Amino acid sequence: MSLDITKVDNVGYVTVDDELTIYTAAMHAEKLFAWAREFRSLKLDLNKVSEIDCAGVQLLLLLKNEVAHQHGKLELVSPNEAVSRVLTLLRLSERLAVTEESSSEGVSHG
Amino acid sequence: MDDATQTFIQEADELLVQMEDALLALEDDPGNEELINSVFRAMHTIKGAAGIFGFDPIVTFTHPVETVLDTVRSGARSIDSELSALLLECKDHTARLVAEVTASELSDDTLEQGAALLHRLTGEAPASVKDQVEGAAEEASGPANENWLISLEFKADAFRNGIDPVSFINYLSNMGEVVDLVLHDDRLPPADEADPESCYLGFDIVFRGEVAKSDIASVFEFAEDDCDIRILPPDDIEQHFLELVDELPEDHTRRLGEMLLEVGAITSHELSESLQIQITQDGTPPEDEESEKPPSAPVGEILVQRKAVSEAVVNKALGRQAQERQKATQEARLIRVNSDKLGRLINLVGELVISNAAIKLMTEKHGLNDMNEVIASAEHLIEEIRDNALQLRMVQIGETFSRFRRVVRDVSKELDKEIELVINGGDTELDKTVVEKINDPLTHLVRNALDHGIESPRERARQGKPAKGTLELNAYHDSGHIVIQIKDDGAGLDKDKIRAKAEAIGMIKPDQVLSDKELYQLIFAPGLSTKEKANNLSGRGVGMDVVRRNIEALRGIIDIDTELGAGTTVTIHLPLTLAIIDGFMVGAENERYIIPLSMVEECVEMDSGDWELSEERRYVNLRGEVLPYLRLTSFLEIPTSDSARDKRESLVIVRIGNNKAGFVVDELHGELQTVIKPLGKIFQGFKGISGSTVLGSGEVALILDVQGLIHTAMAQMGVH
Repeated sequence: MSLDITKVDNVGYVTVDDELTIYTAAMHAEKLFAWAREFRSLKLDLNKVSEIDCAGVQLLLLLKNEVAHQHGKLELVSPNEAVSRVLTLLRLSERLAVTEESSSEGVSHG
Repeated sequence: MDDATQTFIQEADELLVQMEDALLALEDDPGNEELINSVFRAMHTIKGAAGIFGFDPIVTFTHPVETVLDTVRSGARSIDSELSALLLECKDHTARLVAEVTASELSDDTLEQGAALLHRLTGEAPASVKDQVEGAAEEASGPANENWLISLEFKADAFRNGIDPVSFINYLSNMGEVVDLVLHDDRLPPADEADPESCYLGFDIVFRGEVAKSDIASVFEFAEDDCDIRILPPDDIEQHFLELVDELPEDHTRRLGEMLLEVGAITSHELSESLQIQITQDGTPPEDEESEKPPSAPVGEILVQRKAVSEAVVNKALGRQAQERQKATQEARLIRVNSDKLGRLINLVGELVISNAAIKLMTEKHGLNDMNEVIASAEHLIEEIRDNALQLRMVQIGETFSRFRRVVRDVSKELDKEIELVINGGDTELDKTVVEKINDPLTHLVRNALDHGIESPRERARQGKPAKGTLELNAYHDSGHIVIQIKDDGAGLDKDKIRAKAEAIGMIKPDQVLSDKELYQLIFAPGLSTKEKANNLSGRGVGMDVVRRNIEALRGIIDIDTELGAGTTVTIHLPLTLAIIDGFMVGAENERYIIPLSMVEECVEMDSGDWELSEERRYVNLRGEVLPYLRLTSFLEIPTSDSARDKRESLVIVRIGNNKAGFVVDELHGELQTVIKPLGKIFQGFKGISGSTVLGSGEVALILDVQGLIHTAMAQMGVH
């Protein structure tokens, strides 16, 4: 139940192992925004997101703006089914640059 | 049953009558838009009202009918004789539904018939009640290729209040298809200023589904406080709204917004929101229509600004509102009043008439001559009140007549006859209680004329008559009476047949001499029908004798005039009212009697030399005219006093229709306002008296049954 970050190729690789909902949004926002400033570009692994709601989606959008503000890039990778469904429903897959890329390749968790 | 339900029944009844009239008129003038609209309006309004009352079976039935009528209105389907007949059946069925549902006596039989009727009407298998009711909006919106536009703007606290827009959109996608969706993040603040728990999002959703606006609104109902919701209907649904605005029931006080709400162009939330904005702008709550005018922006404008409804819809509704206001000023002249109240009023006026007569009597008795003037003016006023009160109960007979259009139509179809109904004098007025009571006899006479009177087209052609028979219903006033005629150009009565039949059943003797008129009167006797076989139209036991009894119960008379091969005319004379009449008081010995003034032709004094009585031959010779007569004292068997021989007799000539007779009386007392009181049961069989009245002195005077007396006099003269 946490967010972890490792640095891969100058990009912050974040594994989200928690729900992305109104209940966790404030907590995660703090971390994510800080990392955005630190790493400029972020990759979010959404494979282990147990639940996502609109607040979670909004958090991703906020994060995207913040990353863009740092002239970085936000990528969302390996969304699980729950995440995919919501992002597809809201027509956000493209806007949030979601890729199906595997989370494990060349990445070590720290 | 509460008042509202009563009103519903009454309105439904009126609408159905209009619908029937329009349907029948459409047979002659198919494609008349006004008539089609009238039919549509009836179904639409009844459906709407039934919906308000929760009379679901009525809604279920009328909705598909309305839908079919809508296709007729749009020109997709035309009214042919088959559809017309079906719609008439639908009208009848609706009447039955209204009766049964409001009385909570709905039978399965009725429901089945309704379903069968709908099946014939729409050609579709009857759907379940629920489907049809809920399908209302779906059918209206047509095929599901139309897109709704739903615009959601969530407020900051939405998330904190437990609103998850995703779940709403998710739910929406279960109702239909979310064709497209645009998420607005333009309100998102920079990350360091943002509160991740506040909502900054908005959505524009293009939604496709067979739903009504209220269905969509209900999805977001829960979010109403935390979200600005706007739902724009697809173009053709909007078109549908435009039409609905046209069909709204008239109520000029309804605010525009409520109108749009009712047609479904907006939802109640939008309305209250718009009103809220108006209040904010205006500073005062919109209590009446004035507040819809500047300086505050009109509700309609606000709604358009807020994209809730298109301008076209609002303009249409505004136009409608203006029309309704105009119409309402006209309608305000009519008030529905319970007929019991009118009855009480008329009774009281009757008492007033009597007590005024008493006052008059007292002043005369005490020689208070200086009171004459005030009493005369009071009397004059009372007369006016009386006339006005009676006038309140007067209704035109036209409505009763036009109901026969349907009868004529149905019967001529059933019998394969071509019959045209001609109505004259539909604006002739008579007392409502009389109208109600003549409906049955009239129906019987009309059916008789259609069935026995008018021949089949072939038979008519053979006789050189036009194939299309004519039935005339005429009404006019004649000396205090209303005359109703049922006139056909059919076969006429065969007096030989009548005679044969009457002899066969022993009603008359073979050697009895009867005038044509007397022969024709025989058909009003019980047991005489010249029609060999009874069919389901007439000859079902309710005979002409019942008709005559009904008419006579109304103090009316019925006459028949016929010519073999040329047609029959039945003429009914009815008194205009059953309550108060102008009477003429006469005296016989010390008793007083009233003759309805309208029947009095003239009065002749004994010593005028104008008349001569033949006691033996039972006639009076008045200036060369031979008339039957009656001496009241002897007819009514009043014991004559010794001085009887010396008194000066007078002759009162009475007339009803073409029948005249003279009554020999002892005294002429003159005109008198007469309040008719029914006779007690004991006297009802008594011939010659039709009622009683109370005089100013408190004495009772009997009202003479002129009709009966004339007949007696004629019979006596005929015998001698």
